[in-house]
Amino acid sequence: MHNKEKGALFISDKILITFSYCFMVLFSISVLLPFWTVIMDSLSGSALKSGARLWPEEFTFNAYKSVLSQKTLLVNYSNTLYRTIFGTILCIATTFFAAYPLSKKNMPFNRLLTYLILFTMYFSGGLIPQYILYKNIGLMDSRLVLILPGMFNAYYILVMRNFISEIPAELEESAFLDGANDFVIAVKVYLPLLLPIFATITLWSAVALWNEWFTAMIYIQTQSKQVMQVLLRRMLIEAQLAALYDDGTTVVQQTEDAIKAVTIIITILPIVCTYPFAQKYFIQGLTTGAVKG
Amino acid sequence: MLMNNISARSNAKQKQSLGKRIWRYRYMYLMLLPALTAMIIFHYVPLYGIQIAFKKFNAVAGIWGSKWIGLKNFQRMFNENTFLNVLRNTLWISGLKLFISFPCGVIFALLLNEIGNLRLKKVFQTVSYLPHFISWVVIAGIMRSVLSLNGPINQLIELFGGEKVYFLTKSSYFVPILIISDIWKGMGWGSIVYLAAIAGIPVELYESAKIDGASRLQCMFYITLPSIMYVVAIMFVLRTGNVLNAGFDQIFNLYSPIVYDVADIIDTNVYRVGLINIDFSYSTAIALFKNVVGFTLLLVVNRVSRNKLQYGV
Repeated sequence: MHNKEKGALFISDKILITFSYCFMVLFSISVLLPFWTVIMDSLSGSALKSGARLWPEEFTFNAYKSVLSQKTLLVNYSNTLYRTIFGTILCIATTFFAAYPLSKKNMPFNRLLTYLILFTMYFSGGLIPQYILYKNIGLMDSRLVLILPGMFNAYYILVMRNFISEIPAELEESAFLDGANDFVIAVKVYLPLLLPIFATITLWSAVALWNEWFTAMIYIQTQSKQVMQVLLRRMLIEAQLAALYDDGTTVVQQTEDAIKAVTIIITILPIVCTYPFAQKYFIQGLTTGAVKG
Repeated sequence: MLMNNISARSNAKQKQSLGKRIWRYRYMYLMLLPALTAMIIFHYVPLYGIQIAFKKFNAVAGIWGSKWIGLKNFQRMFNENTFLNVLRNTLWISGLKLFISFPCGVIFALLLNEIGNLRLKKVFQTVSYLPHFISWVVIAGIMRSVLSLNGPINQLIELFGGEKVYFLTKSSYFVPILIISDIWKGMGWGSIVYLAAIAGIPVELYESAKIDGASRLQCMFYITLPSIMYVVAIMFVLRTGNVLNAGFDQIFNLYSPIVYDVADIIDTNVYRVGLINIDFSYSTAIALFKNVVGFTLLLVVNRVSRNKLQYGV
């Protein structure tokens, strides 16, 4: 790579490199600083009068103790976990079993089915027809609404189909001649070769489900079925800190910021801790055109 | 007679062979079943409900039983200033994102490419992805406190002798805040495609340019940028097909009635008309308008992309 060499000959090069480093450093700070102040808030025991903290004031873990002992939080957190785990398993299974047949160009109706799937990415009935449907089929205030609608994802299916298409067909043919049926071939021959793309789609789906709030917000009314993102929305956006303290505990004003901060931290922690080590998988599939005809 | 016989036979043969082919693929169709069932229920059945856009929806009578009113909902849309304003906001915010935040991904990739220290490069890259993984609920929550009257930004303004501003309630500040936070959240992630394209440029190009005495800046403008221009063009075209999506999650978590004049977009309007005002038919009409226009736009964009860039369905 040309950029490994240090000695720059031109003044313009020195300016360019200096500018690039400055830009990257400043941007990184702008990304990290807000999260840093949230961490500091979570460890502070006094109310923040103005500005932001770079260090904790009256260091304490009290906010953590208080938040983590709330039943609402624990219940909503486990709902998010439930949703992410089961939703992802369901999604990845559905995706694989749809993508594999669609990678077989000779299958009758392949093109028709592909177009039907593609169409769902670009046209929908809109919010209200969906709302009426969910209400009619009993998804209103049901835990199933948190996982079922996500099981079909056209984009994931097409990305995985493209990956499978790149595997030589001889593999399938020889297995077929040995008398194995398509289901066995899909699971025993192909699946082991697809672990990287499985990782990618598992991560995509898991992050999407973990972060999803709109469906949960409009279809789930019972607090004990609700997920973290909606609880956070009520606390941060609708400024109802009491959402967390349904048992009637009154929050001391001093710890309001700390309590919000703790809730943010424990909600984003699993993702923040995972993505740096799984970048390779997140990125894979983004760069191969998903929508090849 | 003979002709009839032949065509009947060939028909039968064709039918049989299609039937046989389907039978050969029976396990495949079985595997497709869960996905197709979910697709029909969650994506095709709701299309049936679109008809209420042309009806006066009555919850007791249901979708089918409600009375037809023709195009009244659509007439109302174009007679109401609210909708026209919403449409203008959508296009304005979307357009600004397309022309300001979209190029930022390209610029970020070019600048990151100038970082010689590979360790640092990896760190910068990883940090830049962070906002992408955090939901708008959390980011908007943090932004609300950063931009509040007692937040750090206002503290700085006060320090320099300025007047405190309640940013999120000022129409003139709201859209710039949307654009800046959109850049902040998406720049790193948006650069991935271009970084991959840059990694694919043959090293020889740079080596021979260096021998010819080219500076890095010249390499950037005459080798790197032209080499990734094709990818940039594709991404740009794909984004234009999405111009009616101005960013629901972002706006919904940041706006308030006081800035509706500049912040209300089609998606937020559909939500409020439908689920807050409970005007099901009108909400569906607005959503249908968006879907039809958006879909048409996509077809056009796809055609352009296929013909000019050889990329498309």
